[in-house]
Amino acid sequence: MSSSKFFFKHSFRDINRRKFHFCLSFCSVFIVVWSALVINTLVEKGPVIFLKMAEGIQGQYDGIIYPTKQFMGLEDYENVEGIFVNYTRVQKITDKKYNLAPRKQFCDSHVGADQNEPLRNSMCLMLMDTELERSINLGSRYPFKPMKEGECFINEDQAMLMKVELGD
Amino acid sequence: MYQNLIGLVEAYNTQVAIPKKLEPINKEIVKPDDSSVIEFPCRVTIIGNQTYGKFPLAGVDDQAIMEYQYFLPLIANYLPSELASKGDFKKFLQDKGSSLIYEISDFMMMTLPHPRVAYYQSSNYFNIQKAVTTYANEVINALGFFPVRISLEVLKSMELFS
Repeated sequence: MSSSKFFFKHSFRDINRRKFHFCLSFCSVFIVVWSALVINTLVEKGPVIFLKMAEGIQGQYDGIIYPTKQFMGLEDYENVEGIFVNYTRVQKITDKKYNLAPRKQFCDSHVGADQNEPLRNSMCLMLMDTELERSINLGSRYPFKPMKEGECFINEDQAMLMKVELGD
Repeated sequence: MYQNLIGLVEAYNTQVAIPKKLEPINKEIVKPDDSSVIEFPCRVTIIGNQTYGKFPLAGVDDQAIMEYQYFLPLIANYLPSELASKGDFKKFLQDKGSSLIYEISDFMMMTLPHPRVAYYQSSNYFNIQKAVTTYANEVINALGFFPVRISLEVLKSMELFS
């Protein structure tokens, strides 16, 4: 107890005598400790940051299971070989053990605001089961409710090009 | 759409025409040209401005989305003329289309079990690769001997970042 008192008494006296020296030392120690903590956090959380970056580019899913020979990326994939995956059967044989959701995609679909419109934009029409994908956390940032029959989602750039608005 | 129409005609023949002793539809009436193009209208109910994690960033500008289960009942009303005249086929798509489409999916999306971040948490890329590919192999094995393949795009990107 007496040694602690002695220590603190001399420490405060030293701080009062050499304020600049104390500030310099304090800042040096603070910067070193802070840097070590930041580097430690970055190393620890780095893969998660990289995962979020990868998800931003590729989408929030881990694998695409396809039955065809050709696959050059999802953005322009179309199943033209006539081989399909029976999702109902897959769920039955795997006992719904895995997080899987079926999709269909038709690329080179020509879309226009009017049937008789001469300029028609080429797009990929993708079919997805919103509720099923939500249940397996695929694209959890998608905030919209499932669409009904005859309803569709388009990008705002395409909407601007075709001069269509909600409800058209 | 050509391959899909062929698949639907086959499904109709095996599920309806043969059991009910109706005349099967000849697949030859669906031709791989413009005659198998289907035109149908849709009402724009969502205008998006990002991928929402549903598809790659590269496809954000030219992606349209529709709900899976309503597609076949919808196109049943806009079939090419050769098929539109087959009333039983049209009725088959309207009645069974919402379940039939799950039997002819083009591909399947897979997500890792919750918490999926745990698979990517290691600072060593080879540990991540091992964990993800082991799970992917398990899924492919469970699907049987049919030659399905799997593309692990996020893992590929992680290799670049790591």
